[in-house]
Amino acid sequence: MKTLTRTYQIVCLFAGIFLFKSTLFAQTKGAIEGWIIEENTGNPLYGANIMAKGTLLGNSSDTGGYFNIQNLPTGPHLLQITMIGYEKQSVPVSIRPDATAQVTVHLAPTVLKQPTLVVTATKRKQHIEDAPTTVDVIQSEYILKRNPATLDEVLVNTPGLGIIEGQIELRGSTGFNYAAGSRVLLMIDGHPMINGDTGGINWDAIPVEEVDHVEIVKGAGSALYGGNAMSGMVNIITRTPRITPQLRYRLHWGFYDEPAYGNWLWTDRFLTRQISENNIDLQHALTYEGVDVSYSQQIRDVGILATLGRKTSRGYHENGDYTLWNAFLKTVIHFTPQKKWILMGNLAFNDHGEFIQWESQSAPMTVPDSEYGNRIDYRKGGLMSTFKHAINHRFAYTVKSNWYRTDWKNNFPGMPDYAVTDKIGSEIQVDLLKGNHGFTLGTEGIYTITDARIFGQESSWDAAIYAEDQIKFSPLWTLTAGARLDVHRIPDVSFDWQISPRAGLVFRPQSGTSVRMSMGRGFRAPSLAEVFSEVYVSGMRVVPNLELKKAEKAISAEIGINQMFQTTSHEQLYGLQPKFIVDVALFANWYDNMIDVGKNSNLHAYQFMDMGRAEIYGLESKIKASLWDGLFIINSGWTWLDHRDLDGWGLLDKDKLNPGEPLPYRSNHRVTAGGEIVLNRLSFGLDYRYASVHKKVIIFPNDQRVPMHVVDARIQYNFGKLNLSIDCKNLRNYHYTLRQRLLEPIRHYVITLRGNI
Amino acid sequence: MKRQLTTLSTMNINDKRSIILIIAGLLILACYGGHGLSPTGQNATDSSGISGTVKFIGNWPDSTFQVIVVASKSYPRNITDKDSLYDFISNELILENIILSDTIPMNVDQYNYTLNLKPGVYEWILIAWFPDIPEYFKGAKELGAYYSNSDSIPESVYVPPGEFVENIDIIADFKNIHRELPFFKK
Repeated sequence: MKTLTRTYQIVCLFAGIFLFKSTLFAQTKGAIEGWIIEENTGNPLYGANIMAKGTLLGNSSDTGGYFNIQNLPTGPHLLQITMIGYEKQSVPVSIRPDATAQVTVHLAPTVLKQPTLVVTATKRKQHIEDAPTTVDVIQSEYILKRNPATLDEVLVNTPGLGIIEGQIELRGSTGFNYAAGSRVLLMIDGHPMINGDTGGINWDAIPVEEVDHVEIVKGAGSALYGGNAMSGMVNIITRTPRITPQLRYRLHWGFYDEPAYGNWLWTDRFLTRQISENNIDLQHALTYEGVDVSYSQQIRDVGILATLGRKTSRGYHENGDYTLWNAFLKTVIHFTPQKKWILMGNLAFNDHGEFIQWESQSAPMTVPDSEYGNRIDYRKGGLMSTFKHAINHRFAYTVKSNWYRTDWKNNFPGMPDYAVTDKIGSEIQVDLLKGNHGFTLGTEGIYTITDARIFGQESSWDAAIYAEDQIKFSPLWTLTAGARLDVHRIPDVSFDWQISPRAGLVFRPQSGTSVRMSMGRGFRAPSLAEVFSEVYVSGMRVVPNLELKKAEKAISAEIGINQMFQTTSHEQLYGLQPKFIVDVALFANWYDNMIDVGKNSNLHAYQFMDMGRAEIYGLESKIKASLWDGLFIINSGWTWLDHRDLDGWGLLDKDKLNPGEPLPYRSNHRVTAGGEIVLNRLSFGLDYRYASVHKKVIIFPNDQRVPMHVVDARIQYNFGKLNLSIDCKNLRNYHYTLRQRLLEPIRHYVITLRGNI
Repeated sequence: MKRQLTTLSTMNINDKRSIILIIAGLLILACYGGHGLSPTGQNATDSSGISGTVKFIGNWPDSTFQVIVVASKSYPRNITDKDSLYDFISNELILENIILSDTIPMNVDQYNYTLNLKPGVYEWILIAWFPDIPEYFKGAKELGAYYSNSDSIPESVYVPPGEFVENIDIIADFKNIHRELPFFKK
């Protein structure tokens, strides 16, 4: 601890020196204001990002296209204007003392909506081409077009990303682990959204309607984010409250089709069956519906964004119903253009049936009689506060605090359980610019306490300091290097510390080309659930493992290239006017002390245990293409994984060790492909997802396994402020499982009406 | 200067045909193929296993938690160090010497089962009864096993690669629910 205190003092001293120097030498300042205009229509553009290059100062345009940036040092500056869907612009300006310069910028639309600024890879705004690791960005338009009930339904279209039982698998990072201990850190606006007890993720607590975009960073991120980010991060960036009042709504209604096999029909409540028998009973039919309403307004310097939603479903299988209420509130208080406080809160109440495993493969939509009526009442809520202050163009700091509570109870016969868990975190981050260096320094602390029948009354502490430097050697080369020290303590059980270094190099030899290389170390401390779980689930007995004291570790390495090809002449390639963005990455992950579910033959039970070493190698390629000037857009990706355990998984009996086998619940190939044809107001789209068969599973090894082949189709018509869409999800009515003995959603249809006032 | 955007109306006839072909092609591709999992689980090219009928005699006790078909590679002929059938099943399951079926629906008189098994010899095909928690871990019993004649030792079943062995019929007798197995302590 003495070392920690000393390191902390050095960080503070370091920050103080820069603060002093910056204040001393940046006395003469000016400002700039301007307007961002759409090149084709001449209309003002709302939400464009404007940054003064080489500084931490920036702003975004309001509904009139207007922006201003104050406290800029006098002299020449380069303004960089970026907006999703528009080509990036750089404008030189000159700032004079105590004067306000003016500029008008015209942005040209681009058919390939390449994301521009991202914040997750290095904890501060940067161009996506400068990120040292692979970053995928999913925009709100892409999400809303697919009408998901929860955000994970859309994220699975991302190359190399799968979701099993809510857990994110990035490039084979996680198999099926009973939703305990995520190796990918999920955040909302930089605040962690990982459950305090299980270390899992609750997707129903994410306000889908208020997502501006999602940034998915692949590879070890522990150098900045600590535990849970050992294989990557998913950061959900929410919308900014609008200056002019806006009321938005979404209404949807859907129903489940019958399964492909007649003998799987478990009820007469399928709507299609009721229609064919002329016996429609909408009240009890297997339908689902929902309404979301959100309001946004800025009153003087305070922006407010509020959402309320309710969704219900009767499910497609027994115990498949749910009623979900969720609410989200975001308040942004602008004290000055460079000082703001963002306060967010979310709530979700989900009362749902629980399907543990099917009765049999000949009756996969019903549960065993002993599990009929099993329910979980799950409530979760959080408060997140972010205070940002750019003191001058070279020094800014951010103070974040958050509290996240999960509270659930079930009614399982013979084993009712409950858990109330609070996770409280705080972080201070300092950003400094000095010459060609960009420093990010910070410290973070997290306290978790749980009271549960399944885990007992337990708590844990986490504390960390981190520092990273981004050095621009030249316009062509950018080096990123940093490290983080984490300590993790579970009272009376374990104490562990980890150092997670990372280095990355980006080479941009020409416009449209970016080569990235990175290597980093990640870790994840065992969650309270992994240490203390004692539960009996559907024939499986899980017992605590108090010997699970060490964090699991991973070293990630990646080399990738991003290349844009663009033609300018309409006549090129027989009038197809192709434009492409291609991205290829080679990656490797070496795991040690990997924690997963194993069989303890001494205890005749399952438990979370240290499985030893594992390795994953892979290749990921993505292509985004546009033909006929954006009339036809294609998105596709292919991820190939070669994964194996090195020490023999799942057995403590050393004679039975069989190293070199594939890791459980991982696919070797994963393909995503999406196409969209836009015909004026009408659009037609298809999404396809493929994942090869899991070569190894832990339980039920003799169950039939099939690959995943899912096609979603949609047709939409845009009436202006009103958008109508009809979706058919799982068009082929393909039946598959991701975790064993739980059939994934069968074919279903949904009609959605979305609009704004 | 405003850019001339391509729209459907400004496209030539060949491009329109291409668009229609793409839509039709994508739809055909999207709908091509089977439906994945099948009710019997037997459509996998490398699948093998057993199937048969379980006939239940007597009334199902109220304390029943679940009843399953168990295929075990070994039949204990000597006294084991295991306390109970549950201990034996859980231990052999961990060693991957045992395969369990889905839960048999409650209160049925007869049940047709299919069990995917790796090729090999299975010495003990039994019906296991599990009582409600907390008795679950020590109260598991054998309701019956596969016998080809009146032998006291169950008949072994050989499962050839890629084949399903049919007619592995078993009588499960709830009247015999408290029968002790000699090789367990309980």
